Amino acid sequence: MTLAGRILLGLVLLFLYAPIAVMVLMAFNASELYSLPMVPTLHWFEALAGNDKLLAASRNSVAIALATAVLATTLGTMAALALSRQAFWGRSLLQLLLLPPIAIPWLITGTAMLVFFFWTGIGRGLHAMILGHVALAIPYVVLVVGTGLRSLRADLEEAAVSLGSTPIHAFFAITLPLLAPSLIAAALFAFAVSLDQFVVSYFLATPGMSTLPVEIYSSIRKGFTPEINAISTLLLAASVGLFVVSAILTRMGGEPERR
Amino acid sequence: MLDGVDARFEAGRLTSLLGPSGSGKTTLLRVIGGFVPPDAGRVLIGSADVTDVALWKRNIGMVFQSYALFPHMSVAQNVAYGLRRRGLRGAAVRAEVARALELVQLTGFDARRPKQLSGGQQQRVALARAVVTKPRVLLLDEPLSALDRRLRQEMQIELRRIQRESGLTTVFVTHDQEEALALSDRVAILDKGRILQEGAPADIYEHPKTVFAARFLGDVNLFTGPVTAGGVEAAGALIRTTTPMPPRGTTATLAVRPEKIDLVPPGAPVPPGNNIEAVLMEVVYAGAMSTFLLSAPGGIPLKVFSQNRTATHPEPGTRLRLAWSPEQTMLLEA
Repeated sequence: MTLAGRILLGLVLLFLYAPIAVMVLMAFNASELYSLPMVPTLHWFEALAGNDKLLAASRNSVAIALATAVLATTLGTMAALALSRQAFWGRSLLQLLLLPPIAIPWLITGTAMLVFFFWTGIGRGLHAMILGHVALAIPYVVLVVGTGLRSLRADLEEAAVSLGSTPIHAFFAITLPLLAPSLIAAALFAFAVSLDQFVVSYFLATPGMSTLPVEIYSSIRKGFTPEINAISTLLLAASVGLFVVSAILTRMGGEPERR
Repeated sequence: MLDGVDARFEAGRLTSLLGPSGSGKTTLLRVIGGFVPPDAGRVLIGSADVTDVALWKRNIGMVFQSYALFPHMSVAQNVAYGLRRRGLRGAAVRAEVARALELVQLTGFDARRPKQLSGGQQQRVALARAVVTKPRVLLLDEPLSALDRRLRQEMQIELRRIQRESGLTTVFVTHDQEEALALSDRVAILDKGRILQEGAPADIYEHPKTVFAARFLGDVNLFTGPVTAGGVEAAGALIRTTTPMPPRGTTATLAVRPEKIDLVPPGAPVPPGNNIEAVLMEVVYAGAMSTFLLSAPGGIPLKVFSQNRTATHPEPGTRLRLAWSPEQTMLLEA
């Protein structure tokens, strides 16, 4: 790479990561007004432990994300299996309809959900947020698992059945273990989509039942404290960790079979 | 895909289903195996009607074109899979797996993963996995097509040996006529979902019934013309056959394989039997053998195979006399 190229790449990375780096640094800075020189402290993380509102919201966020990961992965995998293995009327249309939700702005999705949930009597709260997050995560799961299924030859199951497995046994003995990396990656994806979700959660949260991003937002409106930096740093670490794990697993799952 | 196929596969023999892609040969194999149900008709193995028996209860062995080895299992686990599905455990499984791996000459490869094996080795594992359960029928779906030419020839010999040693009734699907002729006890030629002809390899090669069968099994020179007294008029000569001819005045096609034709040296006496004159267009030299491409009167293209006993060849443009026996002349249906 040329020198100019390196400098450009450095600038792009700086542009991407400088604000995040500042936020993480300030989470460890004693001064509430971000004054330098930096005095390292864990004070803001300790303060976090006493912030019941933020902690309750964190617990909600993790609970919703876990529920979303399990539900969306199960439903999405079933959909991906049907779309890739079964021939049925309207399959291409269904496959096509799975993708636009990814492109539709969350603001619109969130408004639509709020209106729909109000109209059907589902209302707002924990169950509504789980429903909304599952709906948001399913297309991602179908994409990830569908890709995994495509790299899995259909004749492996046939081979197992010809050797005496019932189709159900063949699915659990052959397809599921081979699909495991894709399933884990899809679950992590769903977890991340839910954990990072703000707009839909904001619309569906109730005063006693909100998620971490929603709580952070309302805290900021009231007045910024470095506690926000601290919790954001924790959230960032969790997100990056998940992303790294899912990237490793996706690559493991996508490794082509040598012939 | 299939159109009224009625076929018997002899017990303990290797029968090839030979046909171009789309001929229905793989479909027929999948119907026999139970991968797809037939729209009509029955499938019998021995005297038992298995048409309604599910694939997993049918006790067949299948080798797939892609081998379909389970990538998350070792070689031994792959081979043991069918045995374990039949309720075998422990030492019995280990003994059978060891025997099967010995049969395919992969002793000591137990712990390897499919990814760590070459194509030929994967092929052998697939074969071991299919025969270890002693299936009633062994089905092979173009198992050698992914291998390179040399390895393919080695595996043909291997496959023949394994089939003989195991004594399994085997159905082999291929589009490669040399492979079918070299491997099989019986060959069935398929086209457009029908079995055109079925017989021993030499029988169907020497006595194909139709132009399609003759062409599919190898090179052939065709002479189409009006039937007159005792032969067909074509290429400026009267070509005879020992087969009874259709009535005079009709049109018939006679054929002769390129290796049956002799090139008569200039000045030598003209031998009895069929002989025509043709102009040499090109010589394709291939070491042990050369292919002579000629043009007979009427623009009929001809092909002659000749062993290279001497290193000299006539020049293109030379007029050559070709001779062959009426016994080697085949009457074909269009």
